[in-house]
Amino acid sequence: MRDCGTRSDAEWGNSTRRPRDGDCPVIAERFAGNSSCSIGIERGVGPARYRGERDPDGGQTGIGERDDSLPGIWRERSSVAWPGRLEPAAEITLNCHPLTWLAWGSAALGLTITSRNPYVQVLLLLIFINVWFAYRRPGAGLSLRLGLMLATLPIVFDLAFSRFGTHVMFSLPSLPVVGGPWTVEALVFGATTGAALLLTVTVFAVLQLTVRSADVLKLLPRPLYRTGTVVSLALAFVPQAVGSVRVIAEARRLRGKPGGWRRAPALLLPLLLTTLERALQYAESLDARGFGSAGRSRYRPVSFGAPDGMTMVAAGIAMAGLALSHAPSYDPYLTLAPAIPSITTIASLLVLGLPAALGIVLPRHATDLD
Amino acid sequence: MPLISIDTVSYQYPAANQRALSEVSLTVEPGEVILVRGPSGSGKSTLLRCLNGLVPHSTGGTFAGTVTVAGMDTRNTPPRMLGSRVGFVFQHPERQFILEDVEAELAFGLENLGLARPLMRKRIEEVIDQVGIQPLRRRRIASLSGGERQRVAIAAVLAMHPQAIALDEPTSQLDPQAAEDVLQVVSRLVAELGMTTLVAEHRIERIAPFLDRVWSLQSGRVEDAEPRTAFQGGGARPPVVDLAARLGWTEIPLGLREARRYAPRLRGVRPTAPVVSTTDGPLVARLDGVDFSYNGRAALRGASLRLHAGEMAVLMGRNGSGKTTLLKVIAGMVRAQRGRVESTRPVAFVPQDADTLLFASTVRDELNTGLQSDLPAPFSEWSDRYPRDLSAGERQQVAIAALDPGAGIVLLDEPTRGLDPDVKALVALGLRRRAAAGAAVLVATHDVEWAARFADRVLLVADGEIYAEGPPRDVLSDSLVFSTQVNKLLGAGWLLPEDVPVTAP
Repeated sequence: MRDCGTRSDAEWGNSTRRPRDGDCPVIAERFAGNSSCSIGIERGVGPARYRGERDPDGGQTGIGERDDSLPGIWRERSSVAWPGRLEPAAEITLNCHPLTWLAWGSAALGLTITSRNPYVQVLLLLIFINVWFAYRRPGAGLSLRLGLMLATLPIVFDLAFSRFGTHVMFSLPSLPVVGGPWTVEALVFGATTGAALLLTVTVFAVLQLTVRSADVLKLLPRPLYRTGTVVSLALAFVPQAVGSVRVIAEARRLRGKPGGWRRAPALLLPLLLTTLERALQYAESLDARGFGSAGRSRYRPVSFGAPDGMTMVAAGIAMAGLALSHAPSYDPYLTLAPAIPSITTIASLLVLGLPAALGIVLPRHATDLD
Repeated sequence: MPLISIDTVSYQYPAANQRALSEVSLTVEPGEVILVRGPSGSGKSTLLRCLNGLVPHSTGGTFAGTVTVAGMDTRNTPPRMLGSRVGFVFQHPERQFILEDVEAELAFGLENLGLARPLMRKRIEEVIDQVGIQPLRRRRIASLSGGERQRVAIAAVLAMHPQAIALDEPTSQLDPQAAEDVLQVVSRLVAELGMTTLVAEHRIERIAPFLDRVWSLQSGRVEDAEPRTAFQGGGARPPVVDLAARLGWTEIPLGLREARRYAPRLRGVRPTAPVVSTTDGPLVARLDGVDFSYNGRAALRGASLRLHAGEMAVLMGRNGSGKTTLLKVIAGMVRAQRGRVESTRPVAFVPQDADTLLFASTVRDELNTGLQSDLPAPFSEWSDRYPRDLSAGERQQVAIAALDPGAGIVLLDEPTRGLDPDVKALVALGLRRRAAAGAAVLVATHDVEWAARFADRVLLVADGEIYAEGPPRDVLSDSLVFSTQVNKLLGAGWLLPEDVPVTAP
């Protein structure tokens, strides 16, 4: 955990920059209303270091597209999206012990699930976002965006379909489904549900940044290692499949075929076949590299250092503190005003933010081999 | 004793109706460098895959004969045990990696061998130096370019200390610069380590000088010969060999250095054929002073261009010069930030990875024709096949044929990447047909030989601007970078072996 994430001051300065309106008007226009737009923008503003890194080889990220030492992102969006380029360039200097983060993640999820109290939720959200910021990489904002989108759904649904509660905001005439009183209780209930979803997504977003599947695999006992590798390879297909869908859909458009989800069945077959082609190639690669041929040694075992220990302890304290202090429960349909959490509860939540502090304060060093 | 011996091997893929390999017998001595050549689909990959047992263990099918690698019979030894004997580099740079970062990837094979950590560390450091990937060691695989990935793939197999290394068209998916980097690594392995190397490769002129043998495949049969004899027999060969054959030189040169001994005899002779102007057709597209920048970085600076109906123009320039951007501007995929873009006809665009344009379940559906008889050759033969099962060259041809017939402007980005010479000519033929039908064809390519042979007009791009244009003979002659092998040898005006009169001294 000592140097989870790779950051530099330049990167911070840069990564918050949004493209100016003049940067790429066409693309903005072309992709307006397309949900991938926001993704692209996020990646488009990679830090200076990230762009510089790719200069020596002409700015390429993938073989798909070679023209032009341009920041790859805009290229991706401007024409055909290529699989394998979903990740921005970044050096791997992660050195987090996966167990540490699994413990932290369990505690964080536990707290998220056990309390619907708005005060607790806001506090947790602030903490998680801070941790996420401490370890963020360029392009990592996608999952949070997704979380925000998810969070709005229960608000809309509860508000529109729930007729319970006494604090009526307004009433609609007797229309089917939406007719009747619209209540503050429904709104708040939807909001707390949405917040719980957002918190869950944020926890996973943090884990995605800090835990490498390969490291988790290494924790598995030897007999499980092969199975584990197969599972992790299978999981790796998911983002690739997403990339393939984009490529295929874009290609249809280039050829003048209609896009949109109505044509999804036409995309399915190419997608399936692309995925199978990849799977076969992976199998051959594994074989050609001697996978499973002998006893297995480990090049770089993950070490467990003091910060790992501290984070583990913090996770424990948070769990225990919550169990002892009984985080206030909350149901807007019973009492609209939430209870204020006790000092113990607040304190036990705050310790979960320790990784954010450690991520910022601790000197970064590349790997344990250096 | 040979390192690898292949004894009367025949192989048929499951559900195939003919053999991929037919009674092949070959040997490889330690330290030999072997080129495996042949048209697409002739069995090059299959043959290389026999060496580490992927054929037949991973592919199934019917296998006869024996392949012995370092004393091990591949029929009884699983591929994972052979992986450390014959290192294998695959064609697709993006599909052969298991882990997320470079160093872990280098270590993967060694971990599988169960080596002790200090030994692994030493091997990895050595291989990083040998292949020259020090700056890449901490990078994420996903962030690497195609050329970088292939170098990492080579390093990863090299770390396992294989006795031989097999490369299956390692540069076919790469642009020329990246391909050059990869081939440079290969030649270094050959020169400095004496690594036994088997390589299937279309860029023959780069590796021809250090070949020991050439295996020429034709529908599953292999002819094994010395490079000079093999090249004399035809097939894919360096342009200087074509020239030598044309002029009847007694000694077949493998590279420019050898060819120079004969070249001076041609000095002073100049090509006589007139340069044909092709810009007579009506103007169909016009770019004036176009600027375009990606995220603040200029890709085009005041680029101006004219396209005429019926011409086949070629856009050349180094990586990052703005070729692809220019095509996209013409295609309307990105909009110029300054300047004027006008086109009078519908535009069709084939991106680099033409596969992505193919999504129908048969070639016939792809070409939108109901009746088989409507399809011209060669498509009629493939009409019921699944487009993605076709070879790279065949797919490229289908993609071109599948473009909207009404498109008056046809743009292609690197259509000849990874294709063998015959197929490249077929692709050019397809484009010529388009041009003859009145379309303006503009191709971005790095392929100088192809451009010299088929283009009517060459446009050179640098730094977002077109700085030279004209007939190939004017533009490509005496250029340090964009000149053909024959031009490098003979100088002024000579581009292709077939230009040179047979009567030349």
